[in-house]
Amino acid sequence: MKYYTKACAGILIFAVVSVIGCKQSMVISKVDYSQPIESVITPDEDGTVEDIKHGLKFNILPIQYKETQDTSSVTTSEIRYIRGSKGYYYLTAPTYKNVYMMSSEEAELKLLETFPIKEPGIDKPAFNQREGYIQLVNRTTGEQYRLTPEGMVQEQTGTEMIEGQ
Amino acid sequence: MKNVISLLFSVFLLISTTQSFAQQQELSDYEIQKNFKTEFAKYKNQIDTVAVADSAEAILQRVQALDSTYQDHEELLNKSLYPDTYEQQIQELRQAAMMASNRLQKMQQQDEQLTNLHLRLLAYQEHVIELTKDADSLRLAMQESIESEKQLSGMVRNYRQNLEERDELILAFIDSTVVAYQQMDLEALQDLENLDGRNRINSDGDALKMIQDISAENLGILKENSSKLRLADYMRMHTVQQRFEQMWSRMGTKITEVYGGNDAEEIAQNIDQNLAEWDKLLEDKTYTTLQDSLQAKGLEISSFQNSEGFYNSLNSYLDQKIEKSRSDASQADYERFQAFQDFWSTVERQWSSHFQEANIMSSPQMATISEKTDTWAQNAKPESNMMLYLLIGAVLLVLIFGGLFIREKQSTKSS
Repeated sequence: MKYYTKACAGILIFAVVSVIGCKQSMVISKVDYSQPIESVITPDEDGTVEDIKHGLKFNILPIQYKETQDTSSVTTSEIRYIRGSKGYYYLTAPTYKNVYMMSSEEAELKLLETFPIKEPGIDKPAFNQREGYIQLVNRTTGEQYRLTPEGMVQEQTGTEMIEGQ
Repeated sequence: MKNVISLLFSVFLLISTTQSFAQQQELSDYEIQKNFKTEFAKYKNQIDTVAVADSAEAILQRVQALDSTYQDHEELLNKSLYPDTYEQQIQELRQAAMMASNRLQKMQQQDEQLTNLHLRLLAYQEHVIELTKDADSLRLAMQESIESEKQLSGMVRNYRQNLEERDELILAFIDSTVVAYQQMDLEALQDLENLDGRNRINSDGDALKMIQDISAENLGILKENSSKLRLADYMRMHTVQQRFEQMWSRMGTKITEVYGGNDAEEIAQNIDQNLAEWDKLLEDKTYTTLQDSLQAKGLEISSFQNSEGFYNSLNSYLDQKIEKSRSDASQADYERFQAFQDFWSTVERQWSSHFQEANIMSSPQMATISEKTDTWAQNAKPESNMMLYLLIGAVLLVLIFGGLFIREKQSTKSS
């Protein structure tokens, strides 16, 4: 019985070590996910946008609901997004009052931060990839904002910090 | 005043709109690359469809301006245009614009050349028609004036001069056509046709039609007027025929392709037939006239129908005459020799190139005939009987004086 207990304990220890060993995954660090130029895509009538160039397809209705509390029809003619160096997606659309920062998960985009834009939103927004941050531009007024996972700052003054919500 | 204000306002609006647009462009990387792609596609399309060399030059300049506008965004555009690069695309536009410009310049040159050719052909055609008309009216006049021999001979002379002038014109036409069509680039010409959708050549002044007309008219002249033509005319016609045939075999395909009408192949076939018939008829007439002119000089040369027969006849005639003159040179033979020498020296002086070009006689064959003519010359002159006559005269004188002397002596004795 004593031997039997010892043998079982040995097998258990071996199995645990093996499982732990197999679970160890390789990690590549300092990956740059920067998308050089933003994607501007027209959603179809169901609200699906497909970016063939970057291999991304999703539905914008959850974001639209967050903006307008309405999903009866697609209300925007285009959706603009860009991926930052850390892999987060920054997403907005004309007249939207927020920039949404989302992370890519297994078959899903998960909202991490919402950066509010000054009322009444931007008629002609655009994202630019810049060294270390994403630039949000109001193409009508020329206002520029610096976007990072930490927050959104208006570039001209450099003082106005908009915290993510 | 109102107009000036309106104009100033428009300019202001244009400047402010352009500035605002430029500002917008500069703000968004997406817009920059999108605008560049649009501009690139626009210029590419303009280059593909440009129809005037000056416009191609203008596009080239606009491509330079495009380059200066977007050069600062090269890095961004390289990412957007991957796997192409900004430099590659600008270079592609530049090269395409330059090629279009060169192509259009060449096409314009071809167009000008073709217009010149067209005008020249029209001038030739008018002149040839005029000369043919003159020849026809001379021919009719000759038929009507058979009773007056003097008048007729004058008309025949004019007719032959007219034909000579016409032949010279045809030779000039041949030279001009050969040069013009040699320089012609069919591909550029096709581009030109595709471009403005019009027939390059009006059939009134087309070389193909004109060649057809000339070949048919020459055939007609040979068929209808052989009695008025001399050997010299046939020799000249041989040169024209040879040059015409050479021109047709070298340029015929090109001339046919350039022709604007639908019946090009038919005309080309007709020209081939005319040329073959012209060639055959001219050869027949030439040998007949050669034989006639030799017989007219009292030279009994056996008949011939071709170049080989002609050479053999002359050769055997000379061999026979040389042999005879060696054994028994008579005055009649000497006169024949002089007639032959007269004929042969005309051949050597005036027609040697015609003989060779028309394959009537080769250069070695002509040398053989010349050599034999010289041999005949050495023996042709009959030997002189002067000494015999002097001797007979002297004997007669001796006899006369002897007779007189004897008679004198007898009369002295008797007295």
